[in-house]
Amino acid sequence: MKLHRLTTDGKFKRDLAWSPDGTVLYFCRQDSTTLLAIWKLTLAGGGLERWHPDQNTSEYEPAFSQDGKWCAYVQSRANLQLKLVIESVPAGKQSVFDPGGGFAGLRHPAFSPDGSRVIFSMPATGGQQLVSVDTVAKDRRDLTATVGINNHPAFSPDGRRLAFSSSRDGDFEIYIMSADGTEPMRITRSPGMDLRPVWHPDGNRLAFVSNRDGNYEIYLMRDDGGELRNLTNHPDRDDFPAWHPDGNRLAFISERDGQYDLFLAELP
Amino acid sequence: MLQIGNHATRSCQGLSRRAFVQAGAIAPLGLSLVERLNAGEQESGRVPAKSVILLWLWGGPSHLDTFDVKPDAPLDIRGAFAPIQTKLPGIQFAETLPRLAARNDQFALVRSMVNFQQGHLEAGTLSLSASNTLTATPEPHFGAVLGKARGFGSLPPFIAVGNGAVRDVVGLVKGQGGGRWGAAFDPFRVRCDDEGQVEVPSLELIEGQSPGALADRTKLRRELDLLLASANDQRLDTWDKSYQRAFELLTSPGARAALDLSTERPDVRADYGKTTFGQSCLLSRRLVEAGVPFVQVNWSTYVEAITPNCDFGWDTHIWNFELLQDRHAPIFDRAASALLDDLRERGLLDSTLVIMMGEFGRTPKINGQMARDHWPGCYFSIWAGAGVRPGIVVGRSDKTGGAPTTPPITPLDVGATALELAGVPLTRRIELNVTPNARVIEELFA
Repeated sequence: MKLHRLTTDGKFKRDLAWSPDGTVLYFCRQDSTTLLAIWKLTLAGGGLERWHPDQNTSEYEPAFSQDGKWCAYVQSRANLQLKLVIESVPAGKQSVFDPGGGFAGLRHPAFSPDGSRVIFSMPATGGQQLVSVDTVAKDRRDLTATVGINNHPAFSPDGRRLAFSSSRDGDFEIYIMSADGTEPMRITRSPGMDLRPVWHPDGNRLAFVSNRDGNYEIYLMRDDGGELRNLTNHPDRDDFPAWHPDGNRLAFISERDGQYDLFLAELP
Repeated sequence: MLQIGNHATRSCQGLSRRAFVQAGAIAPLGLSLVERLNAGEQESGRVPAKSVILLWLWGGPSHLDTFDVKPDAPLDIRGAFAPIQTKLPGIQFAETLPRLAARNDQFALVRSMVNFQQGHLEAGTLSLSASNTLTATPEPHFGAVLGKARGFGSLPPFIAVGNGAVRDVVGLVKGQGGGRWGAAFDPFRVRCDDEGQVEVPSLELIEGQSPGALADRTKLRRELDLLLASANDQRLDTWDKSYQRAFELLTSPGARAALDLSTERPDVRADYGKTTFGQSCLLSRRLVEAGVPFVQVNWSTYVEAITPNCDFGWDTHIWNFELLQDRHAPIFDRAASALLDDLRERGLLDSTLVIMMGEFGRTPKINGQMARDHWPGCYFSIWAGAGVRPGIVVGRSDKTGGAPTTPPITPLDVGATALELAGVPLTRRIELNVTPNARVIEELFA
C-alpha cells in the first residue's frame, strides 16, 4: 500500500469527506482552542483554504450528495446544541434541522445516493437513533428505535442499504440494514469498538475503524464481515476513513509522530 | 520614565508594588522549608516533593467511561465502551485509554472520591481550594498554600497553564487563587498552544511579545518605557503585580528557557501530542524542571464540551461517548502517559507529585441524551510520584459507580495530602490555618 501524507501542520483533525468529483478533500481542523473549522484540500496542488472563512462557531462533519447539488454539515449554535445545516450548491440556500430544547443536537450527516434525504444520528426515545429528513430539513423519519447509540450512518452506493455503528449489543459494532430501517444485521463481532463504516464504491466492501488490536486502525471487510484486513497497522491512531470516488484510494487521518495529518493510501 | 524594580503604582487589585515585594518576603518561612527540602526531611519522614503538577480535567470526566468501568452493570449504566485489561491483574479501564492502561503500574488510582457540590463552579472551588465547605471568601488554592509556604523565588511558585481563569459560561471559579489571602497568591498565568507557543497574558499590551523574543532585558525595558509613556492613566493601572511578575519571569534566562518549547527534542514534543493540552503538559514538566513548586495544567478554560466559543471541556451532558472516543480520551491518554514517562525517564518523578482529576464524576445512569450529567457522589483521581506507591487502586465504588463502598476521599483530603507530600506538614498547615482537620490519604503509601 503506497501512502502519501497530504498535510504536515499536525493540528487536531477529524471528519473527512470527498467532493463528489474526487478533486477536493474536506476535513475538520482545530484552528484555535475554541474553534473547529472545515477546510478544503485540493488534491492537485495541495491548496488549502477554509470552507467558511468568516464563520466563528465550530462546524463539523461535512457531507455531500453524489450529484454535487447539496452539502450538509453540523454547526455549534448554542450551549450544548448542534444543528444540521443543509445547503444547496452553489446557491447556498440553507435549511436547518433544529431538534430544539437544551442539550440537544445531531451528528454524522450523510446523503442518500439520489440526494433526496439526509440521514444523521440524534438522541431520541430510549437511545441515540438514526433519523432522516429531506433536503429542506422536513419530513423526519426515524429509522432505528433501539437501546444504545446508533451512529455513523452510510448509504450503500445503490441506496438500498445502510451501514452504521451501534452499541445496542454492548459495545460498538458495525451493522447493516435496509434503507428503510428494517432487517438490521450485525456484521462485526470484536471485543473493541468498530466504528465509522464507509462503503467502497463497488458496494461490496466497507472500510471502518476498530481498536480491536489495541489502538485505532482502519480495516477493510466484505459486507458480510468476511475477508477482514487491517489496512493501516500502525502503532499510532488511524481514523476517519473516506474512500475516494475512484475506489482505488482511501483517505484517513493519522496521529503518526504525535501529529494529526491527512494521509492518502493507494490500495492495490 | 519607568523605574523597573521599585515601581510603586497600585495594581488593579489595590496591591502596591511594595506589598508585592512584601508578599515575596514571606520567604524566611519559605526558606526554612527550602532548607528542609534540601535536607530531604519532613515530619512524616518522607522526602518532600519539590513540585506538584495538577492536571485539572475541568468539566467532570465520567469515571464510568474511563477509570472505574462497570462491565457487569446494565447497558444504561455500563455505557458503550468495552473494558480493557490494564497492566495490573484484575483492574480494567475503558478501551479508550490504552496507554494509561499499559502504565497503571506507575500510578495510584483513587476510585472513592466524593465532592459536596453538584455545580461546576462550587465543586471546582472545593476541589482546588482544598475545602469541604463553601465560604463567602474561599480558602486559598492548595497551589497558593504551597506558594506561600515556599515563598517567591526567581520563578513564580504557582503557575497555571491555560487560556485564563477556569470558568463556565456563567462565571468564574472562586477558589482558584489566593482566596482569603488575596490576589498576591493567585497563580501566575501562562498560555501554551498546540504549536508549543507560550504566551504570558500579563504582557499582552506589548504586541507580538513572546518568551522567545524577550532575550534582551534592555530591549524589553525600552519597549515598556515607550508603552507607558504613551499610556493614559487607565493603561497605567494595568501595571500591576501580574505585569511585574511577568517582567521578572520573562527577563530571567532560566525562566525564559523553561517557557521555550522550541528547544525540546521533536520526538519528546511528539510524544505529548500536538494539542494544546499535550504541549501544556510538556510545559509543566519544563517548569518543574526549572524549579516551579506548583503547576496546574487546565484541560480547558470552560467546562462546556460543545458550545460556541468554549474550548471542549469534560462537561459531556450530550455526546459523552463520541466526545470521549473521538477527542478527549485519545488526547488525554497520550499526553498524560507522555508526562509520566518523561518525568520518570528524567528522574523527576520521585521529586514531583502528579495529580490528575476533575471536580466530580458523571451520573451512573445514562441520561435521555445518551450521555451523563454531574455526579459528585463518586469519581476518580490519579496520583503518581513523590513517594506515592505505584500500581495500587485506593478505594472502591459500588456496582453502579454511584458511591464509594470504602471511606470516601474528599477534596480536603486531596489538598492536605498534596501539601503534606510537598513539604507543608500539619504543623505548618495549622500555622497557615489551611486544611487543619484534613487527613492525609495514607492509603496512597500502603
